[in-house]
Amino acid sequence: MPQVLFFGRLREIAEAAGRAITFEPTTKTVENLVLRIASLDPDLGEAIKKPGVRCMVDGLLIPIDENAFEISTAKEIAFLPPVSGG
Amino acid sequence: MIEVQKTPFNLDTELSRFNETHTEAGAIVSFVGLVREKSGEALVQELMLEHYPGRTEESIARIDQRARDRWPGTETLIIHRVGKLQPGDPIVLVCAASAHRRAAFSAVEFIMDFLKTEALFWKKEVRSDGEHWIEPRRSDYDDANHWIERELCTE
Repeated sequence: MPQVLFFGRLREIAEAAGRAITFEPTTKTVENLVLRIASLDPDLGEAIKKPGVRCMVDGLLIPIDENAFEISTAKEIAFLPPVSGG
Repeated sequence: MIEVQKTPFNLDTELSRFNETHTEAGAIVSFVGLVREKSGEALVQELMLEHYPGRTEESIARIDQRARDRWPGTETLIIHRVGKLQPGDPIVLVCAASAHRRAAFSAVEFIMDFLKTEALFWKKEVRSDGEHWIEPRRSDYDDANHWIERELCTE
């Protein structure tokens, strides 16, 4: 089962709820996963849908609403809010 | 060389080492970014920098490679801090060594513009007016986009 990671403000919201994100047999795409997260943790689901949030599947950037890319065999799925380095 | 580290870096040490390993260069340019003391009217007490281990380094390597492709023969050093930082602390050091100054200046500026908008870091300011996650400003995206527009124009 892929590991789901959150960063920045998303990590804070996920930690506050302290709920592990588990997969269902229907959780096959990023779009499914976002729906799954929203049902487990509505605040986190809301935060993920904000503009600028991206999803990275084993290092590949995948749109949040992607519904064809198969994620059930992925190792790591990360949700990334807008970055700010430098 | 790319380093993402929790520990502070010593500017003198890093700059001397870089200069000594690039004695063949005609020009060396370096940039140091510091934690600001104020954000608008609010005083910054602490800056928290978060990263995605492995992937952050990859994102910096892609930016670095683009700079090297654009200014061939340029050698670079990028050191970026993560963890808790205090106002005045250096966050980032970018050095470029080239045959001529224009390439070195440009490579440093290019790398900084994309570190702001593409490198995987998340920044939270702990300030006198509360905690705030920082996102790139419109001007940061404009700065990065200028390079892309220039790329398209020269193709």
